[in-house]
Parts: sequence; structure tokens; C-alpha cells
Amino acid sequence: MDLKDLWQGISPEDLGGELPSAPETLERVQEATRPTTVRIQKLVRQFRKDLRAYLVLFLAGVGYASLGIWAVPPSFLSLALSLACAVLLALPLLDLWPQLNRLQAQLPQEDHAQPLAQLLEAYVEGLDRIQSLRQRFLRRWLPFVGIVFGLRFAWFVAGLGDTLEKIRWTIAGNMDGMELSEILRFTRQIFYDLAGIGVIVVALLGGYMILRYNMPKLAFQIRLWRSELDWQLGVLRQEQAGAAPSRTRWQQLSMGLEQTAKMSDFLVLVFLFITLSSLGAHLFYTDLSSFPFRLALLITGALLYFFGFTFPQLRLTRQSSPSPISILFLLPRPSRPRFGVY
Amino acid sequence: MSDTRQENFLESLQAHEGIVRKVVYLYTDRKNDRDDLHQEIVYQAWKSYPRFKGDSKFSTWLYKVSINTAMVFRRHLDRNKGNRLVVESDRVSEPPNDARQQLLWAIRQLEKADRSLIVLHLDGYKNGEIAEILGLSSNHVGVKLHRIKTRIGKIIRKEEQPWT
Repeated sequence: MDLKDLWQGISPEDLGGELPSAPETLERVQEATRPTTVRIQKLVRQFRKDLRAYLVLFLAGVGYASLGIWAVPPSFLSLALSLACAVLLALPLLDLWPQLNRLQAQLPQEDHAQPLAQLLEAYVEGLDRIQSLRQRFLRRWLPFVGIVFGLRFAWFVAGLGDTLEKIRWTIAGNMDGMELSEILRFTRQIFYDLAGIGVIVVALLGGYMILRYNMPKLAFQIRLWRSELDWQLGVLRQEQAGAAPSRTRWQQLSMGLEQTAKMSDFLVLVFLFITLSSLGAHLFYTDLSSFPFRLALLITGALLYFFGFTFPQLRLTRQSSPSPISILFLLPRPSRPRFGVY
Repeated sequence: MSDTRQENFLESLQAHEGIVRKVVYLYTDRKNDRDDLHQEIVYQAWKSYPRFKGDSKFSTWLYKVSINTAMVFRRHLDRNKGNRLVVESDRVSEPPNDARQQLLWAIRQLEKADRSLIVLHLDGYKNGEIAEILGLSSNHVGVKLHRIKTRIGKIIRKEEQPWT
């Protein structure tokens, strides 16, 4: 049979049955292209992106802290301690990471296929669940992290005593009669010890900064998302009821959030400084034989640099001009829907 | 946009509903995706309707919009394959049991770009018109059509064996 004849005989039933009618679809489409709806959809897309970036930042932060703890002169005790630290730091992730992944998978994938109010409610619910996961993390796992840092600090004090003893011995003039190569080896050893102690200090501070400031920052961001989604939902409902939305509540909220965002950006800069100092210390002063370690650190540092610095800096502020630091590092500043346009 | 324009649009769209239906069917596998693609095509058509000046027939214009939208939609689906929750009951199962369904089945086995080409041909469009809609040269369309028909023939012959 000719293909064209066959084709002519194809009925709507052959093509998968009924589709929604054109007028009904058009009505839905018009609803979906209203400014409020478009704005909400942008917001939701951004929320999904932000959430992903925060998850990566969190992972990178914990990875970095683990690596920092690992950076000690090799010995059996050090290895055992580092392994214990790594396991303890990985535990929260084992618990938190799959749950966050599941949550993300449950969030609606196709915005336009969902009725808007339902979509917003799903996101608000998602944010609440992330908040409760975050609180569970802090309550359950942060004490472990505190213990790990405590152990590291004890290790640091022990190492400091040893190094001070070496320096005292050197200053006391005990190097007379030593071979030049031996003197050099001894000096290098002291130098490595000092660098190692420096590395541990900055890594501990970096890890502390991540855990101390990143988590509240996430909480802040979640509040921000939630407030805006709630606000947009309110606008939507008021528009549906034919009333003009009030601007006052959002303006008040917005001013408070802006102050918090500025503070948060400052903390991010401090965090960046510590991260880069630590990274520099690792790169220049650790033993050459630990190249894979330094490479891993470099990658982690790069991740932190990108997500820890650019992302919160860009997402949380409302400035339209690039910040001086962005210019310094020649970073593009992606555009972001601005708050309080209604 | 005025009500008259909207009425004209809806009237034309309903008159050529088959075009949208065919494109939607050939580029999606699941019912939810069909509804989404259908909506997307209506949205894109509505958005670009003010630019439709009547230089070509409405059906030709609608084909162009539908195919472009379907290709983009399909790319998006393929890219996000890993993230999607697949509900098996939602998948459209279609063991062809007659010649018409075998033809549809065979077309769906083709490359994405080839599907629209053969559909336009079967709908009676000349090679020149197909070339214009798909942005190809007329000769290229002729060569492609010949190959596609041969491939459809092979697929149908192979599928004439009992379905498993």
C-alpha cells in the first residue's frame, strides 16, 4: 500500500487520543505568561539552581575541613587520627546528602505543567523540609565536628611544643661542627614544622568558618526564598481576587534582608581570605612528595572559591553594579531578578 | 492582542489541529509529555502569531512552529532524562496491530529531524516547501526522502514478524 494512502487513513485515535482543546490551552497559556507568573517561574528556577550550588558548597566545605585535618606530618597516630576525623566528618553527609537529593528529585521538574499555587506551595514545603534537615544536622552532627576540631587542636599544641624545642636547641648554638647538608636538612625540618602548624591553624579556622557561617547563611537564604515565594503567592491570590497588592510588608522585609545580606557578604570575604591563605600555605610549604594531596586541595579550593565566594556574593546582594572584589577577580556578575518590583 | 485576533488564531488553530497532534505524537513517548508539548506549541504559536503576516499558508507556518518547538522540547527531555521520574503506567505502549500503526511506529523509529521531513511529505508538501520549512536545500530533501522511505520499508518489513 502507498504510504500516503496509509497516512491519510490515520485518525486522532491512532495519534494517542484526545488532547486538551485549543481554547482551554490558550487560556492556560495566557495565565502562564502573566508577569507575576513569569516572575515566580524565574524565582523557582533560581531557587533550584541556588539549592544545587549550596549543596556543592556544603560538600566542598566539609571536604576542605577534612583535608585540612589530614595535613599533618605523617605518622601512625596522625594517620589514625585523620582517618577518624574523615569518617566523623563524612557521617553527616551520609545522612544529609541522600535526603537532600531525594527532596530535590521530588520538587516539580516542569513548572508549566503545574498549577501555579500548587507549585509554590510545593516549594514552600520543600524549603521547610530543608530547614528541618539543616537543624537536624546541627543538632546531631555538629558536636562530633567540635570533638574532631578539639582533637586537632591538641595535636597542634603538641607539635608546637616540639618545634619550639628544636628552635631553642638551634638558638643555643648546638649546630657547631655539623655538616652543611645536615644544617640545611635541620633548618628545612623546622621550616616544615612551622608551615605545618600554620596550615593546621588556617585549615581549622577555615573549617570553623564554613561550618559556623555557611550553615546560618543557608538558613538565611532559605528564609529569603520562602518570604519571596510567600509574597508572590499573596500577590497572585490578590490579583486573582482583583485587589492591588500592598507594598509595605515586602519593602520592610526587603530592607531587613539587605542589611543581613551585607553582613553575610563580609563574612564570605573573611572566609575567602582564610581559604586562600590556607590553600597558599599548603601549596608552597608542604612536602613535594604529597602532590596528590595538594592537587586535591587545589581543586577543593577552586570549588570553594567559585561557590563560596561568587555564589553567595551574587545571590544575596541587590546591587546592580559589580562589587570591587568581582572586578578584582574579573568575574562576570550574572543578572538576577530584583526584589521588590511589585 | 485584540479579541478578534485571538478568535482568528483559535479558529485557524482548531482547523489545523491535526498538524499539532501529529507533531506531538511523533516527538513524545508519554502522555504527560504530550500534554506539555501540546501546550508549549500552542504557547509558541500564540507568542509568534503577531508576526504571522500571511505570506505563507497558516498550516505551513504552524508546521514550522510546531516542529521547531518539538525539536527544542525533545532536546530538553533528552538532556534531563536522568532527572525525570518515569512512571511506567504513563508510558504509551503501542504494539502495532495494523498497517497505519505500523507506519506511525516506523516513523517514530527515525531520527528526530527525519520524522518531520517524512510527515511533511506525507501531508502533501512539495520538496521546495519542505526545504523552506526545515531550512534545507530542495535537493537534500529529495535525497533524504528517498533514504527515509527505504528505511521505513525496512522497519515495517522487520516488524511484520510477531510482536514480542
